[in-house]
Amino acid sequence: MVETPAETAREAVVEAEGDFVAFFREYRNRAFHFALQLTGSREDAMDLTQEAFLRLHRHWGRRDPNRPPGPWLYAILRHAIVDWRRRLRRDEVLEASGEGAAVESRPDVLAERQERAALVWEAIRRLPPEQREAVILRDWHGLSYKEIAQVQGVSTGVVGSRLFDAREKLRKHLKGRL
Amino acid sequence: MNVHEEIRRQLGAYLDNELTQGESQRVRVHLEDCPECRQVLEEMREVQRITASLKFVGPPEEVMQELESKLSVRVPRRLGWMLVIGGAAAWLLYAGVTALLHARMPTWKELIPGAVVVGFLLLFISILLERLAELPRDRYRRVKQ
Repeated sequence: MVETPAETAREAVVEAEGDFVAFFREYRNRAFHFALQLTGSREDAMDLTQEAFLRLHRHWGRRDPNRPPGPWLYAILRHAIVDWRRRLRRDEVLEASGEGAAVESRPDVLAERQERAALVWEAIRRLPPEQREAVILRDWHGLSYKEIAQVQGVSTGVVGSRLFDAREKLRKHLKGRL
Repeated sequence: MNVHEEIRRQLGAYLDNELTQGESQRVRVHLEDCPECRQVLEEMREVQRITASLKFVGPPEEVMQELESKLSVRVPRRLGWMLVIGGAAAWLLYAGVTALLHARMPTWKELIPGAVVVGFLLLFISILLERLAELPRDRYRRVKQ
């Protein structure tokens, strides 16, 4: 049976939307955890995850099927988190207090309270936001430098520098404590 | 920047397998002769290992289920809009051809589906205008895949 153009278009839409639901199921926890790691609040993380998926759905039709949509979701979520930070006007507070990200992220996001894990997380929390994002995306979410560059909207060279600076800080902060 | 400092700056990328084969080889050779860099690499590896093993609290399952339902409900929406636009275009074409070929206005039986089509079109235009008004404020559309 020959398909009409309308049937072909309808099947493409159904397939794309089906893809979206499958994508949601695969990435929902990763997205939530990324938001949680950057906000420190379970409620805010859930709101931001929801916002990111709804926005992604709106633009899902123009995605490039040859590129994985994961980094795209992370990029949208990161934008939402930046907006969230701006809304709370916490950047100014943090800069003024010189406490880095300590106010922003509470330690109770960890599911297991092990001393070494808590020490490392505390050190990560104190990193500047861009470095913290890079470390989390690389070491916890497993993104490549290229994918992190896409999420942060910078070059892979900048990602490398951010990771280097972050790891130097972490290493020095944790030296002799692990 | 001397070779030692240059290699040290590459240790993170070496750990992440982000260097070229040649660069990795250069780092390996340096590591054999530099206990300081070996120590730094080991410390970085340990921090990375602990970071990767951190366990975080999970999402509230009931809220996630609600979100999935909300997204699933949206699935047929795009298809619905395609049918509305396609149907409206087909009817307008039919009405136009009828008027031109037979030099008459469509009958009331033909006008009823036309009213439905025009109704949908008005709804569509209102949503379209709303979206267009939102567009300059939608920063997320510039986020590239």
